[in-house]
Amino acid sequence: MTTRSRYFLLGAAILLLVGIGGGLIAYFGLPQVRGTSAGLPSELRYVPSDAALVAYADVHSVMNSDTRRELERMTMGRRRGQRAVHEFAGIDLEKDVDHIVVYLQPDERDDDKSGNNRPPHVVILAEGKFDQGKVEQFIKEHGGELEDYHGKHLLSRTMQGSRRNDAPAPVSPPNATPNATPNATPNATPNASPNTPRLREPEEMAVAFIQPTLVAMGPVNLVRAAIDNSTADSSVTSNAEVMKMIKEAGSADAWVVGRFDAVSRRMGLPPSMRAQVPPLRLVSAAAHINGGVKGVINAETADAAGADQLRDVIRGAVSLARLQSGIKPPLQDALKSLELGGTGNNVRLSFAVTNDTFHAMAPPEQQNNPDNK
Amino acid sequence: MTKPSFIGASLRIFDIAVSKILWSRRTAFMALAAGGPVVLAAVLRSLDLAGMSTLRVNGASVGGPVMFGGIMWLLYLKFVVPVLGAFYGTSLVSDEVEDKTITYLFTRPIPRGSIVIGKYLAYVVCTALVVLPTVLVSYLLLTPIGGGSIGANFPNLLLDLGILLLGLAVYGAAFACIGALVPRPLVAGLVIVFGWEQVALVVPGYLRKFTVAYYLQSLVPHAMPQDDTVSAIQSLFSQPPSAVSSVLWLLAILAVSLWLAARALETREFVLGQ
Repeated sequence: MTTRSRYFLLGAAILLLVGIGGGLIAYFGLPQVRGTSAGLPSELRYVPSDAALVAYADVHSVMNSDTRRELERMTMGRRRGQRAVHEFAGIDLEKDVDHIVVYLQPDERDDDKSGNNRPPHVVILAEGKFDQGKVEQFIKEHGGELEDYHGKHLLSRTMQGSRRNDAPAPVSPPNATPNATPNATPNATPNASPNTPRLREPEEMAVAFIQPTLVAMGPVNLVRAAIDNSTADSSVTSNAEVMKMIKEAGSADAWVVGRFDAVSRRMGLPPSMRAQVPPLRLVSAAAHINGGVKGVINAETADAAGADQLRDVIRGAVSLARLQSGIKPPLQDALKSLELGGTGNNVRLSFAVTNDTFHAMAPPEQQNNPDNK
Repeated sequence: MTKPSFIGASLRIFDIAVSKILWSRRTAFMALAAGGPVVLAAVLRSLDLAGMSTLRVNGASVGGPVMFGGIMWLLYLKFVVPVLGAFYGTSLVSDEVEDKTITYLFTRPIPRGSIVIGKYLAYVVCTALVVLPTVLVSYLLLTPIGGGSIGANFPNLLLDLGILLLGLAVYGAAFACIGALVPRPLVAGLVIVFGWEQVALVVPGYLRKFTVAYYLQSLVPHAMPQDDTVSAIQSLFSQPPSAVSSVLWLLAILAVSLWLAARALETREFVLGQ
């Protein structure tokens, strides 16, 4: 090898190594997602540590699954959340989004003692391929305003109150009657049960482009907080208990982890029913979806005695269900698939539900519909 | 004087071949092919620094990481890597035959197969050390456009570099084999790159499994740009293999090709024209 060749190769190798070294320094210099490991969504660093519930869904896997098609046939294409996101921000969940992380944030004004439950604040973190210009244009056309928050584009607009949650409410079509608005729903009356989540007053909702491939949607103050969380050390990744359950559920196509007290209260479970359930601290559910649903539910009780009590309750309920006559074979198969386990203060219930089971669970008119075959 | 081992002979040939590959007439082509993306990246970055939004799709500006993904696909994977493989791979043996210098190598007390292996190693080292730094420079120029993070996207770059290295190695081995077996191997190589591989990838069925591009492209972390009808058809029929099976197939193609090339040199009788 000539000296000229040797110097050329040496120079090229040094350039390559310096570049790779610099890139590695830049990579490891990034704010690391504390407590997360491979396979967990990096969006967790935007979730606050006091989130009542964190959920994840691999939208591609779920949308492309046979199960989703079966469920869609059963429900005749009812996709409220998907439509709401599209009408709020012009984002097509099915086409634009790869996966989402959703979290519920407790309302600071909630009074635990009164039993009056405000609907939860929901923030959606969607990762995918977005046409930022198109989304911004869409929201501006619908009366939204653009602001710059810590270098991120944040678009906000006031939305009508939603009874069920804070997911962006659909825009009422021009010809809609006033009764069709969420405000006019019967449950919004002052006589509504104190345990039923109340209608939230109209509030400012926002979409922020945290990264070119990541948007946050939800109440404007929480979206701002999510942006702040990315640099602060107050994200859910610093919550060891929640992260332990997320890691266990992390390989699934969809999972949800939350504090049972917060979730059950916001689900509107009556206090009498809540009193029957042994004291639970954290609950998680994870599902692998395709050709049916294979899922695992984990619950952490306050102590081992509570876990034993919960296992007894579940065992009794399952036995009772199996004794019922007239259950269709697919439902019987689903019941047979139930497996109860767990040790210490952990209770674990696994199940498998096939598409036939979903079909059997559909109302008779849906099952007889020739389109469903 | 003891006969050198196969590895020792290969390294000796490698030592001689490096300079021959680096300073041949083909180097001008390699510089052009590898430098083109860098020039393009520099232009795009300059326009961005000048405040001009360079690339727009449906009215929205395209970010740097997306631009880099497009360059990886359209320039490096679909053009630079297979063409460099064809130009250099086919020449490893055929140049010696055409220049009638292969006789001098055959008179040396070394295994004939080591000639192919040594020259092939020289090809891999030279092309990798020319192409990979240009990829790195393109990445550093393009990624910051539109707020892209060099650090956050860096794992993808490492994957890209690995894929390009594997691509150069496999294409080089396949074309070295063709160079050892076929007369006028460069023509055959270009027909394979611009004919067979392009057609087989868009034809429904199993034909694509007989191309290198099928396995190589399945490893790419970037979305395939829908730049033309051919890409759209390709993505329509695309059922990419898993990453593990792609790597295994590529390594198998590399090993078999090199073995065939070495065997051809061991057994074939070269008749040199006047």
